Amino acid sequence: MVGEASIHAADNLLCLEKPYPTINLTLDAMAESLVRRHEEYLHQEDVLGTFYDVLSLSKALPHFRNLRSVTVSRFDLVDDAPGAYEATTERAWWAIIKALNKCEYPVERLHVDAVYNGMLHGVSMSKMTQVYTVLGELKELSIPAISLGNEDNRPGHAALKVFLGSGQNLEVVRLGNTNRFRMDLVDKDLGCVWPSLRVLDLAANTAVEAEDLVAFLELHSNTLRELTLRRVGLLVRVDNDTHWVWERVFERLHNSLTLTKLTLSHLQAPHGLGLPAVTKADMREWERTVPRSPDEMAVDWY
Amino acid sequence: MDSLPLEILTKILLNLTPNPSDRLVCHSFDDILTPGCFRRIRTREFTKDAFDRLVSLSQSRVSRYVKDYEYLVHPPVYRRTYYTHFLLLLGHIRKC
Repeated sequence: MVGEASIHAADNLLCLEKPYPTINLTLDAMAESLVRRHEEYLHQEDVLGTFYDVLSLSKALPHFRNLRSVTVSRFDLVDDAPGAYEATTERAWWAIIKALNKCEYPVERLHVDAVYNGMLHGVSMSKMTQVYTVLGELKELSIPAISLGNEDNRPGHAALKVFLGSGQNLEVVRLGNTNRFRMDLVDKDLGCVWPSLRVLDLAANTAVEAEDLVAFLELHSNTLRELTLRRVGLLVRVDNDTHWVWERVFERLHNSLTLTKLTLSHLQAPHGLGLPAVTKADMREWERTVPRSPDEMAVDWY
Repeated sequence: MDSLPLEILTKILLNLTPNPSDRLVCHSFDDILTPGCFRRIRTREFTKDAFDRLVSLSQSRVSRYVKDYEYLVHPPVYRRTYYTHFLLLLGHIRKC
């Protein structure tokens, strides 16, 4: 009977691209060759294992006394949250958050290319407190790809609400939702989360409750001046024999908000009502008519 | 060069295509160009050297010019399974 220790685990062998020259090499030479071939990986493991990135950022950032903007980004510029970057983005996120908590100056702008579950959900309260501290000082937050949970599993929803709610001084908010099943970013239950909100840029990538969207925007009507909506659809919900269509949404927003700039792209008409698709001409027309003209603003002022 | 007023020299230099090494020409060039050269900094390599350079920069006189910091993230070099396999193979070789 063959003992377990003598079984050769063939699937544990590293697959090398080229035939490995083992015949004329000593064992040390083979080991050195392997190290040379995988130098990049070994450097990476060295940094990960010693938390060199976390420690270095905590050491460096507090010395940049005029630092006002921090960005965590990827090489590609797509507004998506690819799984390949999840671990490294999470690592960078926590390193930056820890470092910013050590800074005595306030950072005004934070941009993160993508937010994954592990950056907001299932994290200890002490770590989340560090996040809220950073967010509480920000004036501008930009996250083009928020990727939390899926249709059935909504673990990040409550965490996202608290996260967004902690940005009490935010004036500019740019958010993108990558979960194509639902939209968690704006919700009337959130209330007036950003009392100083001046610029809002939302990429929904799905259909939203028009009533929630309008109610949320109206809660910020005192300060909101620039609105951008991208890739937003409307859920069909008939109330009192009427239903929300984009014309109705923008008519309401024209009356309730004092926008100076509206930017629209890829809006979708409600499905199942036989309505024509929203055209570029429609969007250009709303962009022109919904914001208040300088004259109207002057009348409102007096 | 010394006879040019600083304001005019500043206008000339800031209108040229940025080249960080220009600040090494003389003290005047250094005074004018250094703030712009270090306004935005970026970490793009996940190595000890890269983080050492960041720490070194933070402790130098130019740290006060830094206003924007960008941390460029990479996907892991290998998948986790390959890391493990590689280390196992390395272990086999060392034991032989």
